[in-house]
Amino acid sequence: MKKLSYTFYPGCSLDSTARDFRESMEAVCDALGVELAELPDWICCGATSAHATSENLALALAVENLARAADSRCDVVVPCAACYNRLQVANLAVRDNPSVRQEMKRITGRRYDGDLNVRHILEVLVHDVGLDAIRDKVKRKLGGVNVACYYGCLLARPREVSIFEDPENPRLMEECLETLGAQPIEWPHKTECCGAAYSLTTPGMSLRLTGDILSMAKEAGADCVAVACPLCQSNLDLRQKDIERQRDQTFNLPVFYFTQLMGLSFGLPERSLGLHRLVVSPTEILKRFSTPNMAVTVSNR
Amino acid sequence: MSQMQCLEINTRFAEELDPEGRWNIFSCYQCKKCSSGCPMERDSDLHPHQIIRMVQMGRKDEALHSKGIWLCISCQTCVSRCPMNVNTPAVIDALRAAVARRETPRSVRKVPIFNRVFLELIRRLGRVYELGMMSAFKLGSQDLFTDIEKFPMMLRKGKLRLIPTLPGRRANLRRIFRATKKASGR
Repeated sequence: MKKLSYTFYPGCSLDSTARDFRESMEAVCDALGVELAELPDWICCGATSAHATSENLALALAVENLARAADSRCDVVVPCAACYNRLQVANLAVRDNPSVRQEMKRITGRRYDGDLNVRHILEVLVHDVGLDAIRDKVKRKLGGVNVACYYGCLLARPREVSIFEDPENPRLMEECLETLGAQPIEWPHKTECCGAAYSLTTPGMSLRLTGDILSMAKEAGADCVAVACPLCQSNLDLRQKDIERQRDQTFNLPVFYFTQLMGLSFGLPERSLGLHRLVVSPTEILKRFSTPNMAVTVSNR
Repeated sequence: MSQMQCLEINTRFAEELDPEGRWNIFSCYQCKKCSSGCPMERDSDLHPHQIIRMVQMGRKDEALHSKGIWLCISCQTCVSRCPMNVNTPAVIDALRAAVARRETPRSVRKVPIFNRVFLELIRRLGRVYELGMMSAFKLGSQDLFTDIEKFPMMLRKGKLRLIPTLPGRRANLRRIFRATKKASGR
């Protein structure tokens, strides 16, 4: 298999609240022979404060990173959904609109034509690495547990930057997890908004949105949730206890990054996947994964 | 039969916000598909279709002083579902950029404070680290205690860094912030 190499833009969250996303993503990429070279001296993409303040500032922060990455000619892989969205929006704006390109050159002093591809890690793993290569690495099938795949907003919308065929009903995470022998459930809140950073500024609204998502996952029979975005993870996991208290309802739904589930299935050490950093304890679910119900038929061949 | 009323429409405001006509503001025919899927719908004074209507009609003050433009989470649901491709999130961003600092309704004032603190961290450090962000935001919004009980647990789990990793080359950041200062209305 040819070596897959990418420029890696981690974004601020992956250094702190989403360290577990970074750890599990790097472990999984390593296992799959995917090479990630971190963009040196990358800067914050500005989401969402920059675009709420100045369109040019938001575009320039993204373009500054992309221009620095341009020499490598590799596709830029982004794990955070918000960073992915900002980088992709700016990349397409520069590529398609000569006046934006000109304006960005004036602001950043760098020439960048939008010739790189900005990619999200979920789509890279499913499309570039491929489900067959993933299946070959599976040591332990993750049967016996119902997983609700939750995508949030910014991987699906707006349509121009969506990594999904159908932004209203994405299937990429389901395809990936089915390959691991997991059982994704069908449920309606896959792309509802979790409130993102509004959990800090207007927590009332944000807790209601996150609560609706958890409540729907529970009602649909989920035992845990899988996500591909640091903000979604933080809102669903870190604030789950607050919501339970507010609603007088028990969810007890561990919220995994999909890469953590991949790593588990590949038999990688739990510590290398950052599982100890999850707030809602995954211990019970992990036990159920490790004693797979043999009666569950895994339809991935 | 009631008398027909003639409404005065002032298109200048829409043209100020979107001089190149990129966002299809005048294509909106109020089908309300945007507002039906909007997450802030229950909390906001104005819903997305109403914000677009205010802009179409040049009702500048109502649009600029609404809570709705600050409650918008930028989830992009409205523009993705719009049959006329009206870029409502872009219009709302332009409205936020046009509001003078002191004119934000009290109940949503934390949103621009958050944005200011966030951008100041990027300008100075190049990256945002949560602990610095949270401390500065708490001071700025004079709300010191919300979420404070989560800090020890997050530190224990390694989810907050005491010392951030920062980019080495930050010179170009100053240039970028200077060159976009005027557009940001700061």
